[in-house]
Amino acid sequence: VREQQVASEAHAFTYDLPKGADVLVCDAVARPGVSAEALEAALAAEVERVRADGVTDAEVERALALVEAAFTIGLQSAADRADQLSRFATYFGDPAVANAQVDAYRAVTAERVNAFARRYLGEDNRAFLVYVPREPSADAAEPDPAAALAGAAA
Amino acid sequence: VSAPAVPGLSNAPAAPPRPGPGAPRPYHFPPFERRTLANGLTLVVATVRRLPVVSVAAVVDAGAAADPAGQEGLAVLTARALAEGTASLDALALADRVERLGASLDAGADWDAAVVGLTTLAPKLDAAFEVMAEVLARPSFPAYEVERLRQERLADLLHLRSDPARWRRRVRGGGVRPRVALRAARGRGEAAVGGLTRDAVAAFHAARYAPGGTTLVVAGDVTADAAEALVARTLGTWAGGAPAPAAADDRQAGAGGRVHLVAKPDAVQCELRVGHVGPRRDTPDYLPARGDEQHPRRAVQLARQPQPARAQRLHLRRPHRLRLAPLGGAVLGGERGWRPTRRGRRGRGALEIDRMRDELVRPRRAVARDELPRRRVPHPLRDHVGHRVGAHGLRALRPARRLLRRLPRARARRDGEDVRRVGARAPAPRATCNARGWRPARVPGRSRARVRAGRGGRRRAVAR
Repeated sequence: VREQQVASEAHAFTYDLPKGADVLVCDAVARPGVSAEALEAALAAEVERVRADGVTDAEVERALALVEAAFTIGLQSAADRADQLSRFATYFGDPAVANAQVDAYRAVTAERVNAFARRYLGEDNRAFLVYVPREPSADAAEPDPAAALAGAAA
Repeated sequence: VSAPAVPGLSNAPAAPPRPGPGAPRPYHFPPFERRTLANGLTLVVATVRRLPVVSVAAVVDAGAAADPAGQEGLAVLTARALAEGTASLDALALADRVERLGASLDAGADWDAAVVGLTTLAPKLDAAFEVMAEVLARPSFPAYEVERLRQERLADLLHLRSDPARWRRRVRGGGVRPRVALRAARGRGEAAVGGLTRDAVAAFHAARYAPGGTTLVVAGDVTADAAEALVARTLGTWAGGAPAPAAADDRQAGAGGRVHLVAKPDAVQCELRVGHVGPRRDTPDYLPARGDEQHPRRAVQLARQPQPARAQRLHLRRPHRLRLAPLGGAVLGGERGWRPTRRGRRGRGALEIDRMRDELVRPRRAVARDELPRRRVPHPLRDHVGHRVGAHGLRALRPARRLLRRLPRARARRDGEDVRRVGARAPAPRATCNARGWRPARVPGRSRARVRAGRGGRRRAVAR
């Protein structure tokens, strides 16, 4: 976004599925004038960089700070509290698991993150979905809408 | 009737009894203290100790209403550029610093004000607020970051054109507001944004961002004394009096009603929007007129009730919806969306669109003639009904009446006198502006916009 300036925004998230294969989604929107191929290559290179070079302890600490703050801030409303409890009650059979989530994240190390990246972020375990604008259709058989409106009113 | 047994679960232990609901407790807004610092900065602190979280909002008199003529979009661009670098941190370092603190920092602007917001855990408040103070008072506005944001804004305008609902709202706003949005509606929003520079952003910040025109609201696990000490330490040297108040321009964009026709060949639905200039926020009429935002669920409930006889004639695949959408306090409006089938698409459908538009605005005359029945309106639907009457007139009130009949009259607290008063003062139907989305079967070329004169209005091209 800032250095290469090929994307107007980029982020990554998981669906946090309790069972089966979860999905890590890296989402980027191209800047005007940047081709889908260029954006795809830049995104793939960034994932490859994480897989090859790994992340640092400082980066894990930064992610942990965000997770911890988001969890605490998310407890401000009754709706969010209920959502957390129902999530863990439904997925894991015990709503009290919610209270152990932050500690579980704190136990994650850079080594574990890098081992995960090496195992799961390979090119053979990846799919690209590219959304591109549709070309405008050209069909001169239909009337202009304004003309149709004026004609109908008359 | 007993439920069939689930195989394998016959020996499952019985679920524990559900806890009952607690007794309802009255809600009290947290008490707050208001203080003024030596440099004129207003500080409002509400101590709430339930969680170790603190939220801070700096509300600055630097909204889009203060945009200089010909530099529309400058207030928004300035607010967005605040967090792109300070005197001591570039954009990447600033983002990294905020994330390491687990905080969220954002800045933006609407019509009235620019707001810099911060939410952080209480133990990190001092460090996080230091960053926020830098962003607020000492931004560096790097030229390349401002240019990046400007390009993003231009891209956003392109996206906006591809979204029928967003584009239609913008066109409608431009139809009733005289200056800022009207430029956008005429397709010149890109030109205005394209002309903004880093120097213009810095000058706007120097002119509008000052402690005298800023209110700092702090809420959460912090005392007023601690907050004041923190603010004095970080922003005590920030100087500047209150800027000249921005002149609110709430004039009608043009005399007479107008119809804006926006052609979107790729849209999946036709929609109609009606709007007119509404009451100002600083008048007593504002709250009665915008009740739908306070009761959106009821608005949806009500909107689903009417049986669209005219829609049936159009062979709609699904009932149209009527959604009320006050915009920024300056525009009141309503919306109808429908998806026509082949029979309703062309000339006949166009004629029906005109009739539906007239249905929305014509009953307003009954309000002006004081013909609205004086009936008691139960709370909290009063505000909802008020907006409907103000924006659409008597006919739009019909679905509300059905629901009102089912509510116990014991809930009635006030009558609809204030609602009627607001409705009667609303602009006449000819002062409305209608933005209309139109989905023909196939239209050659790209999306276009046309304008057609409304009743008693004038013809005028808007965008192409």
